[in-house]
Amino acid sequence: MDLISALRRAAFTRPNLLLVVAPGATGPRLAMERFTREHGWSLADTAADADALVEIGELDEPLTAVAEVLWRQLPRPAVRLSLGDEVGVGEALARLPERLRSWRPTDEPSEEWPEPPMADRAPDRDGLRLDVLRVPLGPVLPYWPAGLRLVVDMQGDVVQFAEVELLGVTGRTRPYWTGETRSAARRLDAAARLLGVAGWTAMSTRCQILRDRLLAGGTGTFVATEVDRLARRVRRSPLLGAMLRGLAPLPGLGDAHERLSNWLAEVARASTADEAGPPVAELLNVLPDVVFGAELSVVRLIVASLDLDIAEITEPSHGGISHG
Amino acid sequence: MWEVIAFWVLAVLAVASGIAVFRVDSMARATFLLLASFLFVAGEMLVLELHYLGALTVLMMTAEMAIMAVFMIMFMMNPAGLEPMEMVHNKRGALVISVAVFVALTAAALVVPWPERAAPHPSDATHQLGEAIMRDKMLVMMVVGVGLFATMVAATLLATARGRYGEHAAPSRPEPSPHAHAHHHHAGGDR
Amino acid sequence: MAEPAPMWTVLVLPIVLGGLALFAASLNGVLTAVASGRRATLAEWAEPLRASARLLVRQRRTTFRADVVLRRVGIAGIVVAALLASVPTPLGGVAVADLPVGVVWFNAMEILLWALVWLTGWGGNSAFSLVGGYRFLAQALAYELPLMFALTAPPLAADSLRVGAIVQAQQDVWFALWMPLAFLVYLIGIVGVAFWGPLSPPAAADVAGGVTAELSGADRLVFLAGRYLMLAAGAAFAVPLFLGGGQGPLLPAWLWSLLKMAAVLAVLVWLRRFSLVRAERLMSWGWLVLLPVVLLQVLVVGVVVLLRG
Repeated sequence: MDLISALRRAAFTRPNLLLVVAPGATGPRLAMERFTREHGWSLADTAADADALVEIGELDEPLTAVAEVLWRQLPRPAVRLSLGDEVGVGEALARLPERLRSWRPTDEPSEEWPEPPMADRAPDRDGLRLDVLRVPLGPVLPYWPAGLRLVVDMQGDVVQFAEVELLGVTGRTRPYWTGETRSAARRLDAAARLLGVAGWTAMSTRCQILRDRLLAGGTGTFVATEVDRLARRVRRSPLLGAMLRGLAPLPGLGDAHERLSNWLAEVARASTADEAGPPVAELLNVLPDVVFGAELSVVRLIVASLDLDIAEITEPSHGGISHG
Repeated sequence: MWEVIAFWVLAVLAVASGIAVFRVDSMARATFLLLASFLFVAGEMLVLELHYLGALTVLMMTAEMAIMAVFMIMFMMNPAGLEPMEMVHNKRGALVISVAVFVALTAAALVVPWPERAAPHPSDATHQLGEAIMRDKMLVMMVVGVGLFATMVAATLLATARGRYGEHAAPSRPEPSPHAHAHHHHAGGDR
Repeated sequence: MAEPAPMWTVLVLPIVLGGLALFAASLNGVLTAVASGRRATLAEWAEPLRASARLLVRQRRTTFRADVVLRRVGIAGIVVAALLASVPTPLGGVAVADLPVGVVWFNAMEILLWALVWLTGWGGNSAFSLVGGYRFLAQALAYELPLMFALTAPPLAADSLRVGAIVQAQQDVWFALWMPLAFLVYLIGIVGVAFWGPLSPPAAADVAGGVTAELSGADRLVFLAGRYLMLAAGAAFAVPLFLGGGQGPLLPAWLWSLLKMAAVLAVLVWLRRFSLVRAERLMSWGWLVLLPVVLLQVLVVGVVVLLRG
């Protein structure tokens, strides 16, 4: 075996995956996260660092368009696969390294880039006219709710306008987080994502592990004790407190830090059913107001702290909700 | 021997990148070519064994140019990168001024009777510099220092008269704007 | 202490610094593996090598109308800056060049990252990558001044900007012991320079990797290597500055240097277990806490030097 092929062999034993997830396709998404964690694979932050584009669940037209654009941005060699449910996840992923190794250049459409929009100008807080850039957040972004696109106008680092668009909600979309066990797991999933955005990756991974253990039918008491320990560490962390306290306080829900503490406390007490929280449509309605005037990293934290499950939008998408 | 070669190579590079500042069509490239020019000058100082001044020039100029790039690009409609842009404005006036300044500086450099070196080459130029700053140049340094400090405090006060985020982010005087989404902009007190 | 450096040191520097950087990357990989519930096998220790192979065989892509020249200058420049910054760092008693202003030199080379990281972010012509570049500058404004003052404390005590002299001045007591605050602020500064751990917002997941968002293939490899090299350079420079250089019983000086460097580096890598610090918080902490603390430290050092005569 010559050097190049040895290099190639080693190169693709642990591919990086970029996920395009349909709302409600949480089952296969969790299976995917679990597989990558256990096998030492990574989820890519962007197309530039991905070996495979994985479409999870049934993508509608706008989400397919997103996947199409991303697929053209993936550096070659690259593989594209789609997964309908959690059953086939392990098998499909296990074949991935071999598919990457045997990849040969084909006559694909060469690099085509979506042209980024030019900056516009608008009055800023001091009444001066300054640049405004329109930046879409999502639908493919680390720790981001599936099917959500938040289009923001940024002046410098400050959001001056935001608009919610929903993608991928079809007549067949069903929420995944139903029943008592899954409700508890949902809290851990939300905590994992918020901690992930806050950059506390070790703790985020811990939440994912406990979430998967809960879903796999792990004994409640063990998970509860573990979550209790974790909750105490999260509550006591001064760095995390400085990051989350006072962010997006909502009536009845508290600020981002309290929401996170409450999620973990609920799981530790093993009682989640009683607190349903406001419907997602209501949260999406207030979202543009809540993120107004926020800095970009704060926007990310706020969105993660609201635990938005787009699949709970009951009626199919009608061009998205817009609010300003 | 190698000092002479290094001196001239660095000199030519410094001038060349200085000229290139006005030949490129992007704000970012212009800024960092200027930085390159300064770094070559810093190299000259190192060649002349002015170690402290050389290292300090690298240090100050890099930080300064990075901050300048931020400001320039912040205030530009189109910071280039997307659209090429001209780096020279008011060409005739600029030419006259720059030629005049160049001639004056060159004349000064050539005409001024430079003092002959009286003392031998200092064993430690850094030490000598420190002595100069802390003894006979002390007054100048104090005045400059206080001036800079006052400017910094004043600028900070002006900038932080109110917060940057939350309701402070709203445009203070919402005016009709051609921007497509102007009607969405929040007035300060509506929350 | 430091003799005129033989030529071979020029070759040793990249090897030692590269080895330290690889150690940091491996340790990072193992910490990730353990956090994910996997065992710290040999394969996990070798993971950075495999990841490098992956990046090497992959295509290098650029973005629409990227400024490829500036971006490449930024990417490759970080590696160069890290190597140059380590020129005055002695291994045992030998440095590539024990410059008369070694401490200022390190400071100047480390500050080159202001330009280089921003250029990498800017060159990609993509919003997230640019945000990453700006975040680096915003953080730099918060940590750089405290870092500079932390760097002045050891030369003040040793009465020299020469790194060799600073090591010699620690024959009785390491500077880390009697100027611990300067040491601490120095380490925080280095974490900022390498945008690592709590100070990694310039390359964080919330902006899809920030400066690294559009980097692929060899570009990504060189950039990430540069970041680890910078972290290693900072950890290595702490040893002559605060930890007595190669001083220690029994073992040869170069081995002591290496062990101390690896230990400092391990502590820095371990900091990844904390959450991020938001830029505005860092700005307040940097100017309202770190700066007064380190100024006080320099004052104390100054008074001690005066009393000693």
